[in-house]
Amino acid sequence: MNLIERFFSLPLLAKDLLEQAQNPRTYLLRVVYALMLYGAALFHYADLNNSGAAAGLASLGRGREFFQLLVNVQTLAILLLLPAITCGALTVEKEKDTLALLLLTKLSPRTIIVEKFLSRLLAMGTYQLLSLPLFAIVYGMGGVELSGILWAVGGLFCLTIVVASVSILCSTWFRTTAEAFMIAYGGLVVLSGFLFIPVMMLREMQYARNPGFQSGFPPAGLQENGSVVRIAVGIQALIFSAVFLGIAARVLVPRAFVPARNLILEWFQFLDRFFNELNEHTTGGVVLIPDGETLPSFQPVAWRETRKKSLGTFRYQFRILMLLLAPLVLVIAHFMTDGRNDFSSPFRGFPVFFWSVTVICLIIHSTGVIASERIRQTLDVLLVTPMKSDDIVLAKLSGVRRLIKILSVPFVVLIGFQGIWTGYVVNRSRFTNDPNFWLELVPATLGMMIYMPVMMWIGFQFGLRLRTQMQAVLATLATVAAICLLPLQLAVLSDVYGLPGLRWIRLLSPLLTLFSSFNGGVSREFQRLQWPDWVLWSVVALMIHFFIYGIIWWQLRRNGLRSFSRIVHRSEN
Amino acid sequence: MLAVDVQDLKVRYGKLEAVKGISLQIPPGEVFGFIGPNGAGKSSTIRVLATLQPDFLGSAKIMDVNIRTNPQLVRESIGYVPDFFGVYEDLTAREYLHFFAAAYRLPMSKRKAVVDDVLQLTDLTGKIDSQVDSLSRGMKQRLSLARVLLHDPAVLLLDEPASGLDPRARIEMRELLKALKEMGKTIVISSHILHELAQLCTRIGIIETGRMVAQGSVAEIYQRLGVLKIVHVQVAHQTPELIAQIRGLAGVTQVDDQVDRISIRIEEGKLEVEDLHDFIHSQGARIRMFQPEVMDMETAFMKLTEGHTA
Repeated sequence: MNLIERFFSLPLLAKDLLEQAQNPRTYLLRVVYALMLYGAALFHYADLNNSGAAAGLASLGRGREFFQLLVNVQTLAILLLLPAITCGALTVEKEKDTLALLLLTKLSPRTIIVEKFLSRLLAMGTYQLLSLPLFAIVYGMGGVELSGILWAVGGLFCLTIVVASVSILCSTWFRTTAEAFMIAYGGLVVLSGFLFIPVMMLREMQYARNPGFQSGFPPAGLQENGSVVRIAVGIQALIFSAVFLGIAARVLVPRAFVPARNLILEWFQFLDRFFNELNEHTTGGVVLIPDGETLPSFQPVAWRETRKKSLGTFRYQFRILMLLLAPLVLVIAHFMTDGRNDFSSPFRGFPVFFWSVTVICLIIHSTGVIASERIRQTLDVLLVTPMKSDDIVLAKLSGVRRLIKILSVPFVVLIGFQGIWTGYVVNRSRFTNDPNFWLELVPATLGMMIYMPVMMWIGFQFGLRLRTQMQAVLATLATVAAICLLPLQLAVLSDVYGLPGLRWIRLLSPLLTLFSSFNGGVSREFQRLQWPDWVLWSVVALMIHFFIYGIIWWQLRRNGLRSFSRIVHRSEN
Repeated sequence: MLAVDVQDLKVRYGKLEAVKGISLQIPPGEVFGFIGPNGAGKSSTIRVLATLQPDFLGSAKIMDVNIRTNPQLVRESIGYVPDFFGVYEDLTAREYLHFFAAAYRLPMSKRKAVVDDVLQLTDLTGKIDSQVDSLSRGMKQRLSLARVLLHDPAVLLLDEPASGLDPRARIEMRELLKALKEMGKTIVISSHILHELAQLCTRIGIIETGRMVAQGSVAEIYQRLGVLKIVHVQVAHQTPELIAQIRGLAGVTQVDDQVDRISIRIEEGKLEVEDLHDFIHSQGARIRMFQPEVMDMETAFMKLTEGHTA
């Protein structure tokens, strides 16, 4: 084999590309992505045309908004899709015990890493190529220069390289795809901090002589005349990527046969040891609430879910609670002790933080209840016991239900304190009569009570139906995102095509009920009405909203219980 | 009453017909061995009996209870060991067994004694507080057997229980199954370790491409196959006349005069081994060695099957 043949002989890359080409999911995902991308573009284009001037002409020179939308969608796709595509690159080989066979061939670790990296990069490239016609339209519309488009393409390329290399490193280091996926996201968050610091420093250097410069985000250097910054960030990203790939090639062999680990459990066990030692030193080992019975009585599945699972055990759930409550308590303490504060709503960011943590914890836990039995191959032995299918399902979800109760505590504290704050501090009376306050408080409370079980059942159903937990997590996340965003998109469509009857569909989005500031909240539709009509109609809209979600909850539960036996192939009377 | 009664069982996965009309009648106390190549339909049949395959045609009953109409009751009288371990590795052996004791609704007052008994039977008493994760493959498989014995089921369904075990663990497993056989359990077992099935089973069924090729006791199957048996004989003062006389005996198909022995092939059913022995002795030969070679299950299996899958 001559040098050229050796250089272009990439058997692993060819195999991976063939596998991707033979997998129907590749095409399905690509079509879904294309529909989302072109759908978003269509909405935006229609919105531009509908905004006043004559159709077509109205959009001339307004390509910049469109361009930003495209770049945002592409960035989001890279951040969401690429780790999902890439984190399995080597973990799947480990899970199927084929990595050892690869290592026995003449392929060096560096070649394996590079070929795996390229296979994922090419897969992502096919997604990005889908947007090329849209970039052409944007350029045709005007408002954005060719250099701007090239900068964006360069930026997206750098981002792709960084995300793919971080994911490849995680895939090399960890045993399972789920571990690699979780850590890749964590790593990207940390890395974004690393990349951001030099950007800020460069920006400060570049604008040091400009006294009128205002700080803000995104950095002005990236918005205006920031070629130096862009190039610096790009080079830095590429250097980081090369380092990550180098480390991956170095650790491929030592990490090829690492045993599977439960990282969450290990982290909690580390905390256990720390707190136990702390307790020994401070109180001499006093335990106020002992762990309880060590053997199951008559609810064995529930016992295992709540006593043996890392996310099900009370003390571990209590720690998640503390993680959520600690920042809230600090902020409450700050506002309570500092008399100068008289903001009407000092806790605006907390619902978003709480819901983010809630969504992640609930989805991971609920999708795993059946998937974990499948992975451990214990589902069949559980199914041949005389327990009824309904009992098995409800017991399997007992840990998730307790997690919901625990996760509700910060919301209750937040809602309670918001009520006290609004009443005593803002309105100087015991209870506030401000309808806006109650239109925030009631949906927040009902949302907490209804959305969490809805999410639990969606996660459970996907975990039941899909082959791996990772697929179930992604499907649940996509469904939750669709439930939140689709009504808003459809409402925009109804505006564009003059279908006012469909406009009300936006009220189905939980984003409006949970975050009243988002898109004008529920009451935006009724604010042109007189008092008390707008309050009345807002209340009616909320009642309909929660009634519909209550029905969805009931239907998901009913369907989950009924379909369980059929999906797991269990004979039922 | 039959322990297992299957009539014209058919199982289909999409377009693939995995089981094409199997019938079985297994009386209580019998050990029935399922033999067949991979993909022959053994596991599908056992999964139907284990209430884990609701889509099937035909009828299947365990202890006279219809699996289709009353699977819940069937589950109380079966113990199922799948072809994988099926153990919770985050529990100790004690927790694992108490978990299933609770799942089978054993009274709290009896649980400890029952768990101790099954651990003793499976020789795992010393491992009661060990993490399941730390047990060897053989121990995990014995723990699986301990699990299915907790509720004292009448029928045990064992899908390749010895697969992946080392020779010592296989022997331990076989001894354990013999003990269960003596306890009067009805056992349906599938395996690839064919000679072990021959030692253990009172009846075997050979299955290929979803059909039962042969069914009966090991002896019946040999007889039905009409296979040849080889007897190795060593005599003092061997003469060519003796060889010729043996060749002329009815039922003898071939006689090979080898360096240290005479290998005589006889047709099963036409000439008994004992009659051959008497004939040689009657010719005045002094017999030093008389060793019939038993045809093993592998030979029978290879003769009956062609390695096709459903």
